[in-house]
Amino acid sequence: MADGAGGERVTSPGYEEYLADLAELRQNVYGLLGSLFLYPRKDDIAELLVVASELRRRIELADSFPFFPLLRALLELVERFPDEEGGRLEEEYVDLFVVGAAEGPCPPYESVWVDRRGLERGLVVVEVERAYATSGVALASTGELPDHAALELAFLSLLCGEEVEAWREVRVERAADCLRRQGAFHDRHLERWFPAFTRRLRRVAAPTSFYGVLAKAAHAFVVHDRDLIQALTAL
Amino acid sequence: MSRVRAAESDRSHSSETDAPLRVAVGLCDGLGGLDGSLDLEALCRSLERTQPGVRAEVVAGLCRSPEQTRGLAARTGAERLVFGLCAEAASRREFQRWVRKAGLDPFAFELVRLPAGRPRDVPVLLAAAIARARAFAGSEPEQLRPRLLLEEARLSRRAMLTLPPFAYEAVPSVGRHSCLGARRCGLCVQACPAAAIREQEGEIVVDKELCRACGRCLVACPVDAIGFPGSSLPQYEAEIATLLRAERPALLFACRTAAALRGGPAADVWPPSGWLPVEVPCLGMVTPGWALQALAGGAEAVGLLSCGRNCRSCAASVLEERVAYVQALLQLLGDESATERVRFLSTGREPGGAPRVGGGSGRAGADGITLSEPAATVGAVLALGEHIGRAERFSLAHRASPLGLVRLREETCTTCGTCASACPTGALALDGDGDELALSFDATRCVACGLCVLACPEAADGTLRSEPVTDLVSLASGRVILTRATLSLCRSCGRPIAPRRMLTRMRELLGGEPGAEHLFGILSELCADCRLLAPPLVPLPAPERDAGTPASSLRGGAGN
Repeated sequence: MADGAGGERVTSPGYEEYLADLAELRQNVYGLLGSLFLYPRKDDIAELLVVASELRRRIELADSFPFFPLLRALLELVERFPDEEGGRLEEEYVDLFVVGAAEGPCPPYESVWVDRRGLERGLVVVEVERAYATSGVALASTGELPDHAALELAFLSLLCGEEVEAWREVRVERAADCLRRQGAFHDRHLERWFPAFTRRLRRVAAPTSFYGVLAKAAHAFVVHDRDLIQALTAL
Repeated sequence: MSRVRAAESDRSHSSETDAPLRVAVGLCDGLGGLDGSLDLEALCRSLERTQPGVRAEVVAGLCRSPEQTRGLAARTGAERLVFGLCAEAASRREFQRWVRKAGLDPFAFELVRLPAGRPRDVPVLLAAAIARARAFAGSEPEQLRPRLLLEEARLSRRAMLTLPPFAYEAVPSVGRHSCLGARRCGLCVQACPAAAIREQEGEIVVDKELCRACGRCLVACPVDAIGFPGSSLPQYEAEIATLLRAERPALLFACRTAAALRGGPAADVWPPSGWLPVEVPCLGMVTPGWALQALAGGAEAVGLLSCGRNCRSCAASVLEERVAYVQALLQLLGDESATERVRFLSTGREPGGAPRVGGGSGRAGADGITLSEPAATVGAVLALGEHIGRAERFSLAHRASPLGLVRLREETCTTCGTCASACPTGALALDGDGDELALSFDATRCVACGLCVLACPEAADGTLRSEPVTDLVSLASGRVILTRATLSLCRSCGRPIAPRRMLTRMRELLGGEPGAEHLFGILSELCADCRLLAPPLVPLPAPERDAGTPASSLRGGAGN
C-alpha cells in the first residue's frame, strides 16, 4: 500500500478485491469456529449447516493455506451432523468443556487460562467486554460470559466483516484500521490463551472425534491468522 | 541415531503410522540436454529400484513450469516431493506455492540443482534429497511465517485467486514439554543473534517477527527441544549420511545465501567442482561436531562456505575459530593433512575443487550421523581417535570447543548440589547412597555453558571452574566422581539433614554472631521436620530480665 494524493493509501488494481475475498473467507471461518465452540443444540444444526455451506463456496481461496486440509476435514464432519447419533456430541461437549473427562475439563474461557488465581477473572472479563465496546459491539444475552471462545471468535468474525466492506468500498485506511484492531485483539486476548486451550483440547479429545478435529483446525487457523494479520498490516 | 528427538516427540499430530512416506521425484527434462551422458529415464528407474516408496518421472520444462508440481503430486499420491532442476529454475517460493496448492505441507519438498558434466554426483545428490524429504516430520502452525509477495500482488485478481500471493518462511519453535525452561537452561536465549528468543511466564518463546531463522538456537539446545521445519537435525543427519555413501566424498556446508550467490542461473557453477553441498540457513548452526561427524563418517574433506563478512547472524571470526579447532583436534589425533582436510571458504574467494589429500580418515565406524552437541563431537572424536590411533591422550583448550571440563576445588566445595541442579545436560550429578553423597561429572555431556559456575554459592572462592576443553582421556573415562561427602543424619528420625561440609561452612559463616552456636546446634542435629516437633536440644538462654520487671508483664499482662 502506498500513500495516494489525498492521504488515502492506494493499492495495485485487483488487490482490494482479493483482500475483500480473503477477509470474507476469514469472517466465515471465524464465524463457523465460534459457533462450534458453543453447546451443540439440535435446533442450531440447520444454522450451522448454512454457515458451513457458505464457507464451502469460498473454500477454494484457502486451498493453498496450510490450515486448509484441517478446515476441509472439519467441514466434512459438520456436514455429517444431521446423521450423528442423538446426544453423542452433547455428551462429548459436556465431558470436555464442563465436567471434564479423565484428564480434567478444558474450559473455553480466557480468564481461566490467563489467570488461575480466580480473583482476577472478573478483570479479564471486563477487559474483553471493553474491547468489544471499543468496536461498538455489545453482548446480546447468549448465556455465556464475554470471554468464552465462541464469543471472542465471533467478535473477530465481526471485525473481518467490517474489513470486507472497507475493501469492497476501496477504503484502504478503514480496512487497515480493521486489521489493526484484529491484530490488537489477537495480541491482548486470543494469543494469550487460545493456543494453549486448543493444545490441551487436542490432548484430551480423541484425535478423530469432532472436538479433536475442531481443536486442530481452530489452532492451525487462529495461529495462522494472527501471522497473516501481521503480514498484512506490515504491508 | 540413538537419541530421542524431543522436538519431534512434542508434535501432537505427527504421523501415527510407521508406513514409509511416499516420495515423488520430478526431473526436469532439460537435464538431459545439459549432460548428454545422463539418461534421465534410466535414472528414474534406478531411483525407484534403489529407494523404496519412490516414484520418479521426467517432467518436461519443470524448471520454468512449477505448476506441474500439482500433477506430479496427484499422479503419485506422494507426501513429499523432490525436484531435480537444471537451469534458471523458478524460485523456491514459486515451487512452494504450488506444493501448497497440491495440499502438501509448505516444506514438504526439496529442490536440487543438479550439476552439469558430473553424472556420478547426480544420483547421490538426489538420494540425499530424498533422505532429507523423508526425514521431514511436518510443520506446526507456530513454525510458519507468512509473507505477502509484493510482486505477485500486482497480478490480476484471477491470478491471485488461483495462487494467493503468500510465501511461508520457516521459523524455529520450542517444544513445551521437553524444554527445560529459562530458569534451568536458557542456552537458546544466549545463542540467538537477533534477541528473538525470550522467557515469557516461565516458558521460552520465539518472536517470529524478530527471528532470522539462522538455526543457531537449534544446535544450542541441549535437549533437542527446538523444532525447525526444513532445517531439522534429523533432516541434516539423513542427508549427510546419504552423501557420505558417495565415493571419496567431500562435503561443503554452505549457507543458503552463499549457495544462491554462487548458484545463480548457471547450473554449472553450483555446486563447486568436487564438492557435495549441504545447504544450511546459516553457517552458525554448523558446529565443529558437524564437520567431525562428516570426517568420522568417511568424508575426505569438509569445507564451510559462508556468505561473507557482513552476515548479521554469524561472524566469520566465529567460523574461522571453529575450523581452527577442528584442524587442531585432527592434528592432535595424528592427521597430518588436517589443514587441507578442513577449510573455511568465504564468498569472494573461489572455493576451487575439493582437496584430494588421499589417505583420508576413512570410515571411522560411525553407524549413523548425530549432529546434536555434545554427542556429535564426542562420538566423532572417539571414533576418529580409535581409527587414526596415533594419539592416546591429549587435552585441547580452545574457545571453539563444544565440549568442556569442570574443575572442582574439593576443599571449598560444600557438596550442596546446586551445580548439578543447574546443569542442563546432566554432566554434573549429585547422587546419594545411605549417608554418602557423591558429586560426579561426565565430560561427554558437558557443553561448557558455565551455568554451574554461575549457580555455585562458593564460586567466589574459585570452587568450580568450567572451561572449553576437549580432553580425550576424560571423554573415554565416562562419569567420574569429583568429590564425596558424608551426610549428617537427624538425631531424632535418622533422615539426612545436609552434607557435613555444608554444615561446617554454615558454622564458618555464622562465625561469632550472638546465639550462633545455639542455632548451629539445632541445625546440625535435627532435620527440618523434627525441629518443629521435638523440644529444643539445647535450652534457650534465659532472657535477661530487669530485676524489677514483674513476671506478669512478660505474659502480656495475663495476670491483669
